[in-house]
Amino acid sequence: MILLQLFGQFLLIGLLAFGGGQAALPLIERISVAQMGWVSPTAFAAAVAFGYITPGPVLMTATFIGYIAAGFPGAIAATLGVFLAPTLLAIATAAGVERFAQNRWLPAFGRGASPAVVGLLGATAWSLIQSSVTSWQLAVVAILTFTLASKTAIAPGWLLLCGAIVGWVMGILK
Amino acid sequence: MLFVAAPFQLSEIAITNCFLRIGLQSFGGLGAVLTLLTRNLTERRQWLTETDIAEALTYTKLLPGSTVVQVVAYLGWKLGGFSGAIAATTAFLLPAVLVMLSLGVCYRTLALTTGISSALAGLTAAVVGLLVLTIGTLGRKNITHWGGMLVALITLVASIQFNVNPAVLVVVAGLWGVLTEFQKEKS
Repeated sequence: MILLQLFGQFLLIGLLAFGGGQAALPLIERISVAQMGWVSPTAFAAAVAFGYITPGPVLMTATFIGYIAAGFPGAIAATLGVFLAPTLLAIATAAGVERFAQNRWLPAFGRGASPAVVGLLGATAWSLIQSSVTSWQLAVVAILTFTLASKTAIAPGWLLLCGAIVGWVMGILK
Repeated sequence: MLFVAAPFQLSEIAITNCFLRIGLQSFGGLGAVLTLLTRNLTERRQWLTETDIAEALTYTKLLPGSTVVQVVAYLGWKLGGFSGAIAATTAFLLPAVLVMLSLGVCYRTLALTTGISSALAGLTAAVVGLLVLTIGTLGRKNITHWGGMLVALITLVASIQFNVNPAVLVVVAGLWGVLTEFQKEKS
């Protein structure tokens, strides 16, 4: 049953991710952590980090979460679910460009939906802060990552790696 | 006629081979992958032009879902029709799926060991930093008027305080967007 749920929920996430792959991250967290409880907040954060570091789109987080939730079949169900609808829509667009380009209701829906996605991202960040930023040292890591990612051109992957190393060192010193 | 025919009919094997290679190197988000696609499809092989890639980006950006994957599917269709698009998308994603599965296996066996769990705590804090930054970038791009700001705030509160289903929130906001467009049309 969980396989069907994974496929169905990730299908929905793919269909509602207006604004690209990053727009799907809050939907993934809200659904798989807050609503369904498939994975812990830490596992979600690890999935996002791995999504940034590994090749392929950030949405590969779906594969990781599917695996943690229900093993190998879960990974396949979540991956198929999250990419199926967007891929078919892209193919339909390629095959019928004129018609889709003239359609104004889908972009209008997207324009309306994207602020809600930003709001959900706020909710995701807030619940991760509450569950995971549990010491002032970790707060410093979060603030430093934010500052370096916005002010410098350092790739997110390196910043995530630094965060992990700092956490590891803190663990040893404790 | 609803659909047009694909301009090329390359074999699925050639497409798979090409996109598997692109998938293996696809680090670093949309911009980096677009460069890779341009290099592989217009320079190394003269299958497509830069106009095709720009067109793919323009149209797929309007659609929900991962833009990177959609550009690949769009171009795959141009190269070999429906089966070409499926071959391109599958080949592009396959390396990433395998890497993610291996990481999943490692996570399951190691996450609770002391050293790794403190590393994960640091990693999570760094992810929080990146997500807060993404709120800023997505917000600047998508919230252009006070109405959008209001929608974002209502969604935030509804999700944190009342645990309202996120899909419902996004659909309602989307329908509100359609309604706004409809009123613009009437006036």
